[in-house]
Amino acid sequence: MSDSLVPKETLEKINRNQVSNFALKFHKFARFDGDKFLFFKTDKGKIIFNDVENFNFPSINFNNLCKEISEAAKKLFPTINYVKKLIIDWRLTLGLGSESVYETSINLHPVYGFPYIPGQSIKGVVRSWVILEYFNKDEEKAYQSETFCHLFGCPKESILNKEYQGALVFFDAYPIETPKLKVDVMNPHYQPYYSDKTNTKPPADYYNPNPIFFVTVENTSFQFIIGIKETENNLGKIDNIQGHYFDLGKKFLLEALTQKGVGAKTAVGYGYFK
Amino acid sequence: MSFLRTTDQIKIEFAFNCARNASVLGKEYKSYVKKLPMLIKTNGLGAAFAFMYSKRSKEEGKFWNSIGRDIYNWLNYRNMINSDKVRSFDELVFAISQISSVEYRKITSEVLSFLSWLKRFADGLIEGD
Repeated sequence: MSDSLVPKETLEKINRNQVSNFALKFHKFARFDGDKFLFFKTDKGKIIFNDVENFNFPSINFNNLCKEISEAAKKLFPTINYVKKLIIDWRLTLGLGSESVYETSINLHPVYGFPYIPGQSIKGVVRSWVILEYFNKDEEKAYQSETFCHLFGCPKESILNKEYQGALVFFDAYPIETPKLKVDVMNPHYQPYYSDKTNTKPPADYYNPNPIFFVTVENTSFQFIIGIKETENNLGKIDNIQGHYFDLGKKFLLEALTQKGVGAKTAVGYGYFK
Repeated sequence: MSFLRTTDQIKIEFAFNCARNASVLGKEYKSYVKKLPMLIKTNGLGAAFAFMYSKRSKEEGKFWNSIGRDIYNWLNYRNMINSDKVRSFDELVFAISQISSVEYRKITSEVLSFLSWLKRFADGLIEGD
């Protein structure tokens, strides 16, 4: 049996190393190594295979792609549009918990196959940052602020008394340069203790460590774009900060990306930008 | 009015019985049924089956085995596999990479539609989340 579980005809025409789309290579050509799926394997410190690192995304010109997207955004929001390029502070891991045969996963663009940050993900982080920082973690309190409701939208139970669509528009963030993928590892030492439901196993040192590999992006710049319609760019106020909605959005976006972080494991330093 | 049953109706009844029988496995069963369609969509049917197969002797194996058996029985019922050569889910895992792409796609969509019913009934029949 081959280690790629794709239909026979596919395998006759192409092998894993010929696949130029990383999402297809990573997901559809997952390597079945005897008893489980692996994208990275070492033996006594020597790397046996690494299907992730050194993938150079042939046939994608990241610079042009980002230019196209920012131009498209400018057509949608002619005067009010903001493009910011930021680099990952250390590593970023996004979509870590998505369903996958590897147990860990990474968020990849369905067409191009590179890692990217979806717009809704960025909006979520920014919104959550504003609630955390300016409304004392209280979402209900945030719904009592007209500016917050106008910026991010709100349900019926809010000061606007109607469901409202947020004015700020967040675009997907694409890498500006070839993203550098890096295999990282988490290594729980006390797994029997964590998964013990009877509460009888102590967190002792006689268990075997259990390395779990996951994919991260490091040292890569991303392009963040937000937009707002000119007619909706009113003056507002959150906490002590006054300004046009768009300027508030810009400020919050920068704060959230640099101080809250995107994606998984932000508590241990992943996902911050600078 | 015709009393001829459609394939969908048969499938629904089949899935209902599968979910009812699986309800003895407890509420955890639900999360595994819900996981599988996504797994098939991201990694493909062959990989998803191999994943289930690789778990057969683990603790979560009983859930995967039950789901695998149901899938095998349903495909067998629909005559989509050669039951003389492929006699169990375990054999199906190995057979799946030998079939043509057309068959592969056919089986994939059949499994997904069967799972969508199994998922619904498991949700309804098994209590707790």
